[in-house]
Amino acid sequence: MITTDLQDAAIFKLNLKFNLDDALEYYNILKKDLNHLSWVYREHHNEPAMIDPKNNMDDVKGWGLQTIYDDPSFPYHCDLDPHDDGPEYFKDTPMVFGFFKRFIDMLKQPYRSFLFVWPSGQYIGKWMSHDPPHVFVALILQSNKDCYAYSYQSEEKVPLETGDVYLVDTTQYAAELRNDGEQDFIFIVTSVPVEYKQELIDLKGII
Amino acid sequence: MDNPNSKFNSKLLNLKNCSFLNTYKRINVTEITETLKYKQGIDVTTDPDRWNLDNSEYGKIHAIWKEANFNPNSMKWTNYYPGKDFSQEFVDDVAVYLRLNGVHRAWISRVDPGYYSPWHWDVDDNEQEYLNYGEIKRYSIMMGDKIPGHIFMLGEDYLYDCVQGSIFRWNNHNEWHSGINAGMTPKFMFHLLGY
Repeated sequence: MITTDLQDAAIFKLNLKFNLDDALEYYNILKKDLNHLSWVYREHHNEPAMIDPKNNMDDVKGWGLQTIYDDPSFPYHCDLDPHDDGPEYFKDTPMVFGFFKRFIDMLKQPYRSFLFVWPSGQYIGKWMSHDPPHVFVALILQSNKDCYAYSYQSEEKVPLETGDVYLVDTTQYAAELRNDGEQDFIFIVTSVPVEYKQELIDLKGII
Repeated sequence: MDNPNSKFNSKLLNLKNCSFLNTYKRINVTEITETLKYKQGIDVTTDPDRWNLDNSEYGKIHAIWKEANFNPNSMKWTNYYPGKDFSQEFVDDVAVYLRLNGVHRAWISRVDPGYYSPWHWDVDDNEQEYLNYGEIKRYSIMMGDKIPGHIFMLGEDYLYDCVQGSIFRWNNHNEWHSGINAGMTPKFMFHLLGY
C-alpha cells in the first residue's frame, strides 16, 4: 500500500534494504548450529488446548532470538504464559550476532524478536497487538506470490516480497498474515515501541 | 524491572542457584497428584534399611543429620515413580517441552504436612553412567498451586508461593536442598535428571 502519511499507515514497505545473502547465511547458521533452540509451534506449545482456532500456525518453526528467561538455552516460544511484555524484560540470546545484530542495533528498544519459517497454509487470523503499544518490523528472507498481510485499514492484501522490509502497525487496525503459496515463507520480525514509528519511517539504507 | 501487570513473580527473576523457566501446563498435574494421594510410594526416612549404605555418600549425609540433632520423627518424604505410580507419558512430555535428548530418571516427591526432608544433596548410584551422556541437567516442577507452608530450599534460593507448574532448572544437579511442609496438604514436586 502506498500512502503519503505513513505515520497513520498500518502496513507498508520501509526505505530499508538488506543483503539477502547475509540474511540467509544467518538463517543457515541457526538451522545448522542452533537448531536445538528452535521450536515448532504446536509440538512445543505450553497449552495446546488453548491455541486460538482463528490461527493455523501448527507447523510454524521459530527461533526466539531474544528471551525473557534467565536460562537462554530454554527456547523462547512465541506463545508464552506467563510472560512479560515490553523491551525492558528481554535480553539477547546467543543468536544475537552477525546480520541480526546489525539489524537490531539500528532500532530503538527492539524486543520479542523471532526468525519464523511458515510452511504452506499457515496463517494468523485477524489480530491486533496487545500492550505495550508496538509495531512490527519484518525482514522477508523468502516469500512467494501468495504471501501477504491483509490490512483491515485499507482492506487490501499487501504482498510481502523477498528482500524487502515492512512495518506492520496493528495498534489501530487489525491485520492478517497468510502464506497461501507452496514455498516456505521465512522472515525475521521484531517489535519496537510505537513511539519510535516515525524513526522507523525515516530509516534509509542497507542493513 | 517491576511491572505490576506482569504475570511473572518478580522474586523468581533473581534466583542464584536455579532459573525459573515457565509454568508447565501441557498436562493436568492436579490429576496426577490426586491419584498419588492414595498411593503408597516409597518412603524415605532415617531408617538405615532404606539406604544403600554401600555408597559412602549416604553415610555422610546421615552423619550430618545426626550431628545436627535433627528430629528423626519429622524426617520423611515419599517418592513415586513413572510407569509404576504415574504415567510415563508425563515424563516424556516434560522432556519434549524441555528439549531434552533423554531422561536419566524422574520421580515425584511428596512431603506430608508436618514433615520435611532435611538439608541434603541427592546421591545417585548411577551418576558416573549419566555423565557419559554429557552434562546432567536437573529440573523440578512445582505440582501444587501457591500453597501456604510449602517451601523448597535450593542452595541460596527459597522457593515458595509458586504457581502450579513452575519449572526450575538447577544450576548444579548436586545442589544442597530441602523440602518443608508447614502447610495443611501434601506437597508434591516432580524431579527430572536428563541430558
